[in-house]
Amino acid sequence: MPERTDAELFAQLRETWNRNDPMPAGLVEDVLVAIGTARLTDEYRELMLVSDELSLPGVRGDAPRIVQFGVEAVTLLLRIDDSGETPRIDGWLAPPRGGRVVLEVDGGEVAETVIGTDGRFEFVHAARGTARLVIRLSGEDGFTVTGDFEL
Amino acid sequence: MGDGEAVRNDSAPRGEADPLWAAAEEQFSAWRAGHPEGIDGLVRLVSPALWHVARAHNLGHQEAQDVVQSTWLALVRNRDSIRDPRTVLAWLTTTARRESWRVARSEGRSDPVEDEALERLGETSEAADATADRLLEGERLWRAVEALSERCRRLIRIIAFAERPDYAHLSAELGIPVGSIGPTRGRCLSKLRELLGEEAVS
Repeated sequence: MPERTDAELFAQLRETWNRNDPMPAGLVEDVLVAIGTARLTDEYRELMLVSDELSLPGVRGDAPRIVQFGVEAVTLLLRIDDSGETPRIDGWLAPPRGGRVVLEVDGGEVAETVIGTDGRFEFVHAARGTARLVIRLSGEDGFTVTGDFEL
Repeated sequence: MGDGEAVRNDSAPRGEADPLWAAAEEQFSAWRAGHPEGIDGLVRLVSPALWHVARAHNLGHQEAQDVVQSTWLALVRNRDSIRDPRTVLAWLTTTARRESWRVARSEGRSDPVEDEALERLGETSEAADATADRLLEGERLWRAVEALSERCRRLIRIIAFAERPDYAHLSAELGIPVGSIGPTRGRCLSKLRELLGEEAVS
């Protein structure tokens, strides 16, 4: 039996263990599924409601309200004007980023619009109900959603 | 089977120019650069080694699979904190060892003793001499491995699969004083060679 170096011996040991106690079939696929799921969660960022207040103290009932959402470095300000027949939403994303935003009301998509590179967008005629916004920024994977707010 | 690549890599001796870490670096860098298939390749390539590291800590099948999985999820969470992609294999095996150690120590383990391995030990301890000549080389090696003390077997398995394990952590994991790991490794290897009928290479 020829002498083998430590490196050769270790290589043979690895083969031996791979043969006698192999990694279970299916483990790799399980791991890949788990990683895929983790990445989805990663890409799904929820903007937390920071405040929901009337814009100006002391102004009477119909004044637009300002709703603010934020997560880490992103802030979304919404000015919701409910004085007309349907609510109007003006949004500002800071720092400014372009993209697309979908308005969902009571679980269904009701409108989609472009977010300008200045971070601005508007829904002139929104529907009433429980709303949230789904934001997809240009050049980024994944999406961001706001928490629910009432229109 | 997803472990083909790693097995094939083993035909080349692992030394300074270890093909496994180099291949791991390549896949990891591709993944970080935005190629999603890089993580698939990396998982296929390195999972077998992580499996053996976990099993060397006396973890049962399910526990070892959980360790492999949580090691990968830790990589996904920390991928940007790995400065040098050449260290990704070492990062993975180290994470797997720490996680294995944590699981092995945790109370209320469902499967504290390695059942199957112990059974096999009982089967193979006899008649090894008489049949040695007829056995395939791999089987001969396996019997020699099983004839080692448990501590030697675990140490050699970790060293075989973990990328340059650091002795301080190994010391804690195996309950061997840190200064003894080098000598213990040498003794275990000598014992193995002796069981294989080879002279120890000093």
